[in-house]
Amino acid sequence: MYGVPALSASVREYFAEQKVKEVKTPCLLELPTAEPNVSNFSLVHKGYKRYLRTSPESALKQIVCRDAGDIFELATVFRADEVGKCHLQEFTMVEWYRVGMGYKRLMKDVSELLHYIGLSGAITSLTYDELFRGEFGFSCHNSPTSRLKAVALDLGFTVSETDLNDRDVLFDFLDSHLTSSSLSGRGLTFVFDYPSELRCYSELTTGSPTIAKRFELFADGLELANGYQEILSAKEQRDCFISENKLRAKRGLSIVPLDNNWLCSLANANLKKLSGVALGLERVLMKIGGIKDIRQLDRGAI
Amino acid sequence: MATINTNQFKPGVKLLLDGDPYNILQNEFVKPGKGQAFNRVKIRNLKNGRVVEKTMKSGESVELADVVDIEMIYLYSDGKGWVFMNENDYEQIIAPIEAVGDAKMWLKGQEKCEITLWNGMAISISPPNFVHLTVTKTDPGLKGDTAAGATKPAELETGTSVKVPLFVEEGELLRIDTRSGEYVSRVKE
Repeated sequence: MYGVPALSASVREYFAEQKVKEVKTPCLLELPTAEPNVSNFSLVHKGYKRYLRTSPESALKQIVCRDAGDIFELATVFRADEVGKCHLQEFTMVEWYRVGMGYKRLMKDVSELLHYIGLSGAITSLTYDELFRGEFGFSCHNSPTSRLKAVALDLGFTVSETDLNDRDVLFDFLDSHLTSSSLSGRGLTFVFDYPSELRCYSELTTGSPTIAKRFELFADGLELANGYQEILSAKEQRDCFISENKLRAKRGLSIVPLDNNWLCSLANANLKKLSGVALGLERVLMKIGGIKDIRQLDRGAI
Repeated sequence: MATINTNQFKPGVKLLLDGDPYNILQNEFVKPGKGQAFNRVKIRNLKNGRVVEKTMKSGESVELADVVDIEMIYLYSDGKGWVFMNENDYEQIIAPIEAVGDAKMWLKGQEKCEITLWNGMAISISPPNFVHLTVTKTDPGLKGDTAAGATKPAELETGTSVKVPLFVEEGELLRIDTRSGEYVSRVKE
């Protein structure tokens, strides 16, 4: 059984063929993430504070915006509060960006990389709405909160009345049910075209209903990769940060300073289309090795 | 009231949910990369034994149920309540019929049972895995008939009917497995 180093070597080979350049960005950051569902480890030294990155996203986007072309990083990242059969607090993600590529083309890129590095097998794909309708019988787009609430209660969701009327909470809960229950036993599956509530940092379509240009890759319900067609407008990205801060305030989390380096690089960039994705390498190793508990991976494996 | 955070959940922890005591059988941490973290638990309702799945937001606190399991000796029943005694302090409790449930099929007196107490009240009774009971009624035994698998019904002194081999006679003492309700062997007194 081989480990992250061998897997990283074949990732590098794939990107060398694809002419995607490797970069290396800092683990130690001055700003924590704004994402309300992800928490940084923080370090305090002589009165100042630094954060261990939860992903290299901000740094990589700043490089791409400088007209650097396609890039990737094999990044060690850290997530506080995430411990379980499928979660490590320190893990390795390969995150990459493709200039001029749409998210659907990037999904093909992900498949090719996976086959290259040894996770073989057919990959099926379906839209988020197909998955959602198949399970709950109605569309995820513009769905009334009352219906979401009824389904959640039916599935044994046990939370406060406030949370039961919160669309963000309901979507997160139904999403976790859909992926871990409905996708289990279905092998490698792409889910794409997310409801706008689950857009994160992806671009939205302009039609109706509004759809988020986001995809995720699952292996029997285990999330392996998450990708977006990226937001290119600094104003739109700023709005995302602000709504995340609003959500943070509502949940009693600290307000995070806006990542101005990220916003400035978007404002100065001249990109027409950009897509990016991150793939968890320890999860890939779980799937290749048929390992049920990620903590059983040999972290010293070559 | 005592509470527990979801990140301390593990099998065996007793929770109070919607007014009922539950025992955690399984606990799973679920978190989509971009979404909120949840704890998905499989729990058993300690009053009716039903197993249900619930999902809670990670990091929340849940009330603990004051539930303890203790060993007590079954003494007698007056038809309404079943009386048990703690051998250590000779305290007695009266368990209602709902708590005794199927255990009453096997209890004649002096059995060591496991009692689940919730706020000091008995909510469930587990009989010993094996009990010795006398046959009070069955068809006459067939000497030497040991044909594999052949059985007949027999009524025990508690009124419970079990399947026994054909050679078993009235008045004989039998060893019964209470978990399956099956005859194990004859017991020599």
